[in-house]
Amino acid sequence: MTNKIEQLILATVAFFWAFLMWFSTAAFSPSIGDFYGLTTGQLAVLASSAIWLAPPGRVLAGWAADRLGAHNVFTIILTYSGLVSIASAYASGIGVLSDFQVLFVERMIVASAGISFVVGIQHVAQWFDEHEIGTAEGLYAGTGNVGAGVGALLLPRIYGTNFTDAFLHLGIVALLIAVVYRWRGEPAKDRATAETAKANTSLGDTLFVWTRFAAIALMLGYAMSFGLEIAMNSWLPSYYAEGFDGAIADLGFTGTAAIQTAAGTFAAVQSFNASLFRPFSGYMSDLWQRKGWTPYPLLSTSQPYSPRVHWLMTALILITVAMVALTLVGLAGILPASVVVLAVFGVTVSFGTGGVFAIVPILFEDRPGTASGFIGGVSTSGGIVYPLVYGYVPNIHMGYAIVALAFFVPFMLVYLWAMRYEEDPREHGFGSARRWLGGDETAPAGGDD
Amino acid sequence: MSETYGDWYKWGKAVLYLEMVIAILVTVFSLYMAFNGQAAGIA
Repeated sequence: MTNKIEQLILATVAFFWAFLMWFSTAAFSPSIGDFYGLTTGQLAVLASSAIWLAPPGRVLAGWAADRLGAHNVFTIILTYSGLVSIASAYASGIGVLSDFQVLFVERMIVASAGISFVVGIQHVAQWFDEHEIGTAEGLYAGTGNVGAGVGALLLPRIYGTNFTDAFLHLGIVALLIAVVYRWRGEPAKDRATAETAKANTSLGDTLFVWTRFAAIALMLGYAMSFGLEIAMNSWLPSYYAEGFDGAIADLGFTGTAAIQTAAGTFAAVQSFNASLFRPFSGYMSDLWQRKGWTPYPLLSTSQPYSPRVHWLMTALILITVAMVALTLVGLAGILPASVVVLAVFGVTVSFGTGGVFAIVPILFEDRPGTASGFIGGVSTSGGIVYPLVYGYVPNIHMGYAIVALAFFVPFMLVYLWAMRYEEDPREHGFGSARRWLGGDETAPAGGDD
Repeated sequence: MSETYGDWYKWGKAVLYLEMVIAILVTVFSLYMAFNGQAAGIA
């Protein structure tokens, strides 16, 4: 086994487990609700809390991966989340905090294991060559993301309503993976690569990445894909239960438990396709790169990675079309057709997620963690914003088309605008490279934008 | 393009195809349930 494969497997297994822990609270929501006597509103807060720490946490974790090495940061994340997961198995009130409040805080800390995504992205980027990065990052992220679906599918079946044992065992395994990661993990393929990333972690470096138009455009692209994916994870079960209540009842599903199982099964189509087709998107990005395909006239065609930028544009267009199709098929009220469209929708989402992170490590090769943290972190806000829009729209089916038109079309225009430069797009942003990085860096050819 | 791919790339693609097959199976199962409902025997 070559060392880079070992590092890829390490990162993938660790991320899979981190994702499993992230969504393990949701898998036991009904049991937790019964045990603590929670209202529906309290359960909703518990579920949404998993996302709140992701944007700032990922930004910090990405920067730390560059600074300290991915193997160290991943070990830290798995260790604290594992320990707190074990503690949450025995949650009881402390001082003025009730039993549930302690559990809530502990599970929020455990859920922050999801910030490790950007750490693994940085780790894989430090090991794989440019021409195979799409496939490598896709395998890492796609396989890891399945942890969410596997958790929802298997945890309740293995543990029933015994969430305390589940949290205990998840925590113990996390600690074991942390030990192996610390033992076998290495930050980069060579010392020079690791030192370069470490040397580019100043505040100026961070602000340089955050202010690049290309980074902002990729962040919006990720908000259209991964932000959408996690928004749909939490939204779709309610959507099918309410939007297709008649069709589900006609199929013989009556009673809350049966309707939830049916709606959850339809919703799982999105989760599995969005996760498991992600490596294929990375592979497609590599393929477009190899073939040199650049079909869009407005996008730059002269960058060494331009075909990857064009592949992502294709993905963003397909996501937008799929959103409108979801609305249309929902309005038509045909359940099987909706499931088929949802499967296609999931695949288009995977094209977006895989497409973005086939570009990020190449575009910001000297600052992969900081860039991944910004792009993978801020975009997660979509997981909070889109469901609010879906819930606000009077017709439950119209939300997808409205989000597509109000958010995604402008996002795509920003992407087209930011990626149009024939010279290095990193030179374009709020403030010049010289301003953020000091005098020894190349000044942008066109001055400040 | 003259880049060479290591052995891992072949295995990586195999995993990639396997994962896509799993996603398709989940979709087919869900679709089967959308047509057959309780008769699909999962709820």
